Amino acid sequence: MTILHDTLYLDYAACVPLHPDVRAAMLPWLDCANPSSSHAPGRAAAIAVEHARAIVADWVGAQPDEIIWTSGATESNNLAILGALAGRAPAHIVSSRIEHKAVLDPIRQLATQGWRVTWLEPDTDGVIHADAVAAALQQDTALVSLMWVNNELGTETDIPAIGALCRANNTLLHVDAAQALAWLDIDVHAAQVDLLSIAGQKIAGPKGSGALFARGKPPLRLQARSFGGGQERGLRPGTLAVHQLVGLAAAAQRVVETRNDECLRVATLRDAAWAGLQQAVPGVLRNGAVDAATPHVLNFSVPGVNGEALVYGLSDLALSTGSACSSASPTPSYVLRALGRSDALAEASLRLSFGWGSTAEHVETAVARIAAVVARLRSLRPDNGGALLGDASTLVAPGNDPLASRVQHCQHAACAIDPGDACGHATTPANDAAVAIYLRQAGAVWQARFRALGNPATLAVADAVCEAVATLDVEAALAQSPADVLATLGLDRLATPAVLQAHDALHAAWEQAGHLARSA
Amino acid sequence: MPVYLDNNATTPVDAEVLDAMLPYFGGPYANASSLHRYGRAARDAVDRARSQVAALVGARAEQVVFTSGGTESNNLAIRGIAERGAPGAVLYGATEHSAVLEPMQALAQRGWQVETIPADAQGQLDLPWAEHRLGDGDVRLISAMRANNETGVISDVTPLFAAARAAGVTTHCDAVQAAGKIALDVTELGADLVSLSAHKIYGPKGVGALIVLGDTDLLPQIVGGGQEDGLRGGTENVAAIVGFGAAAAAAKAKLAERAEHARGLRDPLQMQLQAMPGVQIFAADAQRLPNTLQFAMAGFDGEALLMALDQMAGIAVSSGSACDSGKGEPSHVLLGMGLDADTAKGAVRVSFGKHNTDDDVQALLAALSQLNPVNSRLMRSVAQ
Repeated sequence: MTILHDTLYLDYAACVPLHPDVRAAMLPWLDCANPSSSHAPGRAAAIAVEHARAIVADWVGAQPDEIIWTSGATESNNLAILGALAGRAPAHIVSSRIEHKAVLDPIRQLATQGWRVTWLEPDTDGVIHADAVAAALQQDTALVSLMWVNNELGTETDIPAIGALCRANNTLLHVDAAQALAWLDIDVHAAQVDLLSIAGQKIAGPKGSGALFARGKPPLRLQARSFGGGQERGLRPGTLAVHQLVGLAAAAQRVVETRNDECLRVATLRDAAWAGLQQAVPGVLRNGAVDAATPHVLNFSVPGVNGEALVYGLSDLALSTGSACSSASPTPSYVLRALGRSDALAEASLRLSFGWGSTAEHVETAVARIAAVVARLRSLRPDNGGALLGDASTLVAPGNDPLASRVQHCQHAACAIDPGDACGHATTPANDAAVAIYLRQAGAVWQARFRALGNPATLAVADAVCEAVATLDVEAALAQSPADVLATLGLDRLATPAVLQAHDALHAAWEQAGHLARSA
Repeated sequence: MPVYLDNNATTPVDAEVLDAMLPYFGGPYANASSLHRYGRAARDAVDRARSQVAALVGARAEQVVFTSGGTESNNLAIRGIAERGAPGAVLYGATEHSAVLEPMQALAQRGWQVETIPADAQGQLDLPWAEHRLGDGDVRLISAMRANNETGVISDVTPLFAAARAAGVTTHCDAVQAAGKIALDVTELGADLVSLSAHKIYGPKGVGALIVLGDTDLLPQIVGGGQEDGLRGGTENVAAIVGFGAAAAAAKAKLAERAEHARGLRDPLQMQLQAMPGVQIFAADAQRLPNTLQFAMAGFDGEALLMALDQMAGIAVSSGSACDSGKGEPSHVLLGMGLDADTAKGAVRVSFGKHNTDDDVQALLAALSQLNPVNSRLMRSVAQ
């Protein structure tokens, strides 16, 4: 597989790149007619759709008429949860804190409509146990929704055990199987699952393809969430995207044919990565159960480094610091916090995930890069006696990152601090990256200098704030909004905490300087 | 080689659209929400497509919400508005597509007053009726299509939307069939919400957009992950979105050329059909999409004529909306225009695309004259 900008792809849990065989199966169907049409080209498209449906059904042990095509797992989860409970009087739901947002958000929506929700907590290995489900079930529990495999940790839930519990309690069981289907041999009826969400993009199929298994017998009272031309028996209208469904089926077929070998091969890669990290990164902590997990995910926390600095330092590796869907949010992973990791450790956590294109060489490269960046960041910590600023050229990986040029041209970096300078400190909530801004009075001109602990975003922002002090004045620099600073520097909103941190430090220094001026 | 005359149902993916999509079908492109370089490359591609789609309809990029298609766009618009407030009244045009009609009807079960704006025999909505109805003050939403999928009738909906706006009523326009076939500018149109679909303009199936103008407040219908500014959860279908963007760019650049090509096939066909005994053209006097022609042939049920053309001549036409095909019901569009059920059941739609040629028109005409029972009788009488 090709490498983009020398960036190594280690994010198969977020998205598995489309497999060439799947792509080849899809391409002939981009030109097809509307499968709802009565004419011959329309019927040919409909036959392809039904052929795909039979393959996907067989793959999960279902009947073809139990498969509803959707645009992906998010839509499947919405249809399952909101569609199965629509029109019912609010009652009780059981789910967990480590579900994907595509399950959390629909359930939260129901909670605002009077539904009671029990949010199960995982154990310290990230596993939701059947015992916990048994304890949470109530007489009026209408739905249990749990993922088969967690997207951040790769940990497995014992769905068959939970299926038996739910059936006995007359409770519907919905399972988001997006992360499981590439690795586990799933039989929905044997596991007594009522609703199962399927995603094409997690099995080397196309994005925008998905399905919902909805139990046929006894029939579910599933209600449509959208209305239109009556496709999918009215449960999910809209012109079917034939090439997408053909792709999903081709990917499913590929999984069936290669699963056993791939599980072994990928588990070997993951274990090699963990062995390498344990050796090269002292103190590294594994997140999630080791024994009850699919082979594709390795999640770990790195003590003693700032999470944001770690992410920026590893910008030549495509990996995740949590679910990709939540990675644009500045709060640390809720799954890791649920495991009992501190905010600081949760922020300094990485998820490597592997798949069909991963090789032993990729693993070696990734381990070496992570070890080097962690060692450098740790050396920058004041308690290690290191230089606070670090070598700009090694802080940011080469590339087009706007951060790189900014950090390399930092003008206001501290070398010698005059004892007479007014100083303001600010740290991130995790307290392991700090910025200190120094203001010096020379005539009417204030100079600003700063120190930061190796976090390139913080370096760049602090430098920009100091530049603003030098060219404007302190008041004007303080008046700059975080959004302005981010836009000027070309940084994404992930760097917002760095801006707030620099502003806090400037505020503190400004107050202290005012105090010094009065006493002089 | 079948003759495909059903381009309002769907169009084949254009070669240049496919070229744009291919890198995202095989390369290392990732989840567009991921912050690493692969994710950012995917994000850049999505944003580029967003600008292209916006440009087709004179919108701004940030007004484009990508969906899985026109049906989802219509549902997001209608349910997204309805679920933001207490039930009131909703109005929709009598000739709307089922992807507007059905979500509207579903609101009736939730205590909404659901009413259709009457249409005349040429498919034009009764503006005075709607203006009068708006005066009652209980209307919350109006949905009216820009161009009809069956008859091709282009509705002058701007005065209706203006009246609704003056009354503080939210407006939705299904522009799925109009986009790419006639010039469309959402500002001139005056609707708050506009639905688009890729596969009607030589883009891929499985992707569409809802243009959300002003500060229209919608309740998202698919939640989780916060994509599309929180209005539509789910990993972006990057390849399809890129294809939509490329298709929109081509549609904008070739709008006049494609319209002229289609009209050059449709108008001669219409002249020939009008000369044929027992053939009735629907909404013939209305302003219509240049590629669409709906007609009935005496003695033929629409579905039967469709099957005959399909099996005898390998010609693919439609008896109405593809979504409604095989149901045996007369077209609600034609009923809405005041036609009787028997006439409506006879309807067949021909919709041309950029691949069609004059040979296709001749093939259709030849097949129709052969099938036409009037001709057969004439032939028999001549033979006797």
